[in-house]
Amino acid sequence: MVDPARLSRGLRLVGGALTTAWALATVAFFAVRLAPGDPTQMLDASIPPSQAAAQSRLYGLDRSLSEQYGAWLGGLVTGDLGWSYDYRRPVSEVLGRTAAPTLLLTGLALALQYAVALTLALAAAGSRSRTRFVDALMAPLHAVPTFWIGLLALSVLARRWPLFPEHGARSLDAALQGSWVAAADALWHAALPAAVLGLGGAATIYRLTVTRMAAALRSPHALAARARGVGEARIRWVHALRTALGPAVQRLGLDVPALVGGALTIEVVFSRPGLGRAVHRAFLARDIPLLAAGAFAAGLFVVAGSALADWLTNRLDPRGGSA
Amino acid sequence: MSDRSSTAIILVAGEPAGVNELVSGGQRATQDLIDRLFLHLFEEQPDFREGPPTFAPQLAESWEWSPDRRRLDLSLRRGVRWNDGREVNAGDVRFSWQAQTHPAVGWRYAHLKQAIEEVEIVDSHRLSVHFAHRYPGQLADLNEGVILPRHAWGALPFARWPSDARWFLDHLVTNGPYRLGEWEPQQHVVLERNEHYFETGLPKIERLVLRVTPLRHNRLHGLTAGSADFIEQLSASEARELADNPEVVVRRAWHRQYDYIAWNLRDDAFADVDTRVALTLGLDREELVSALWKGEARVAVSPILTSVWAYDPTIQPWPHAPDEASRRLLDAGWRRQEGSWHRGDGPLAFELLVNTANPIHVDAALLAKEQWARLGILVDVRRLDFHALVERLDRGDFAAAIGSWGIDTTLDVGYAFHSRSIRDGYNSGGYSNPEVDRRIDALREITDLDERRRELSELQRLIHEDQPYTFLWEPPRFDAHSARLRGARPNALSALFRAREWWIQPD
Repeated sequence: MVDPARLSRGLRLVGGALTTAWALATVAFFAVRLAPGDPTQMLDASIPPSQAAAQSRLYGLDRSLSEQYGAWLGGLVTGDLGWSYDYRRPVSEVLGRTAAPTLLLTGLALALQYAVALTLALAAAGSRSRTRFVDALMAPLHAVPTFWIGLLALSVLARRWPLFPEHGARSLDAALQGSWVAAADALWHAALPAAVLGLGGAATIYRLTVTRMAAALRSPHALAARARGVGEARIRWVHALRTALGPAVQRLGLDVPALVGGALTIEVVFSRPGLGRAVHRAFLARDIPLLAAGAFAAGLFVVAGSALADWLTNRLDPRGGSA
Repeated sequence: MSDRSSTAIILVAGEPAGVNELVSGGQRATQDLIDRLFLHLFEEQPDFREGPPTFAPQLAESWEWSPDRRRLDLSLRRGVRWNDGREVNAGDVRFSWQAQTHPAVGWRYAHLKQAIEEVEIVDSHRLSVHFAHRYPGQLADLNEGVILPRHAWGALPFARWPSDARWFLDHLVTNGPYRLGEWEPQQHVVLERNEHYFETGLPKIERLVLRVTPLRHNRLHGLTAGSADFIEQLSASEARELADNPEVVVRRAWHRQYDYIAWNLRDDAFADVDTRVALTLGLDREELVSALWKGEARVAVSPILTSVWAYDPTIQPWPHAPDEASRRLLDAGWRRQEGSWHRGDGPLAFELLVNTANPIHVDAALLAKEQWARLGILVDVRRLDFHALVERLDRGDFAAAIGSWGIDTTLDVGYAFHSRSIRDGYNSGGYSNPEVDRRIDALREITDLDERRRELSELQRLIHEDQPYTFLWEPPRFDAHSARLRGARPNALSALFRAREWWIQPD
């Protein structure tokens, strides 16, 4: 027998997900389609506007808004995201080929962001002098724009002391040198951009965590553990960290889309391929299907990030609170 | 890693869109790539200062016009091969024309082939091109677009061409000086020397790498640090900064472009010539050129650029003459009241639209506002996204707007100055002068050079006097390359003009 309560919860979840997807798809379509301009718009003295009109017909842009909206929703249901006017190939292919370097970059940045923030919070919590020192270290990362940090890192760590490559996601001939070399080359190219992207967010997570952790270290729970003879390291790494993780994990819902958005800046500064640059180019070219699909995908990232944060929060504290 | 002694690295701002210009054309990066991979029938020469541009043989070895100039007999060069070994033949030329003009392909320059009635194959290396009528730009129009491989690309029905750019990359067969080595999306395109290229000893450089580098700062650094060999389109101040660097050579050429302020003649304020001329007289364009171009641009006179053969030097730009501007405004019925000009109910005040992504245009708008304010003319500068700006122009919903036109060598100014272009064209301001219309129409038929020169001179004079635009400047273009790269001759046609002749000076 299926538990009716569980079935009802499952149906509610599926219904909610479908409604969210429909709302995202609708907002993405209309936000993009109602903006001025279309991909056939030209300002070329040697091309008469009638030629642009012929292209509009060729691409179906002369269809009514409702027809285009229907085709967009229908395409989404069948997994067809449409066809990019600029790249002249399926949108899914463009997104697919550009998503991999962005996912590598943002994945690394996310891992680095949490690793740095939590390590520093663990080291600093409970000590006023260490907290002040780490605060002073993190404040500039929080305040200075990523673009500027990127240029600085590029100038110093890729040009002045060429520890990292300054361009792209792989070396020119890396693919010819075997898969392990190619993988190492890809990581080497991603390391500096990921550090720049991740460190800005690390400052925020550090601030969220360190105060919470300091309070946890002073809590009666920690005092009792010490009285029971539990070691300081265990109290810090297990009890205090678990307590302090709540707000940091809840931020994950915001961090994932923020990192994907921030990736555009990093991709431009480090001349890396990626989703951000593809969507930016689509914006300039008014490549409506690619732009709409990019907006839809970004919306899905937000939803996925929030869902992941909720799930992790529940795992950390099944009571439903924030630990 | 690549051997830098035989590789030239070119930093480009944008990625090419594909390898078939009929479906992926339009962007400079794409054209730069395609012109390295494929041959044209002829090679247009950058000699439009002396006369209409001439054409050098490329795939076509020789050609001859019929007496009525409606038939062109072409002989193709023998022994030119596609990189799969097949010989390029007359069938490829005819196939290219069919693809260019097929409605399903939707090539944006298909209209340039309208006058070509038939491309007739005489034998494997001879063709006759039949034109509906004779006109000045016949050779240029025929030469538009590269010659495509019929045996490879003929397999895909034309109806599927626009939607499948990937197919052409997967079935790429080329005949140009370079072949495609590697394409890493959004990163680089590697071109390798075509060993079977027909010009003996060319290309001289083994590998050209088009490296996509979106940030201008990074492109400049790449060149000065020695990790790149060529960058395009520097600003005047960047060109000046690099001028003293012994490792870098800055090249300067004239763009085929002019920048302007378009007036909406449907607006009562700009309907009369005196007001428009007064606005031009009130503007110190030399100051704009000095401030925005470090003095490197030229004040524009008319849509016929001062760098082309047809420019009439007896027509000089309107000077900066505020007193004369005030007199013209009085003649036009404007009266000075409390520091500003009034006519009828309203003051001489207007909104000047400018593309927010074009920093030179934004600065020009702000400087113009300041200059006109000294004369009592009130301007509100409105920055718009490019597409929003174009939409306002299309609707005629504007008073004044800053823009620029890149022009070809046909010198046909109908796109913005013929009254027909109010409906189908870019005459957004509604300019209409029957005499101008008549001369534009006549010029489309006149092939005699002296007669063309006379007509174009009159046309310049009429437009200069009418001032439907305030012509701002003709910009130069600056490109730069490493000192080790030799033979580069960037010009208005292309920064990579005859890149097959570049070579690298050994260390």
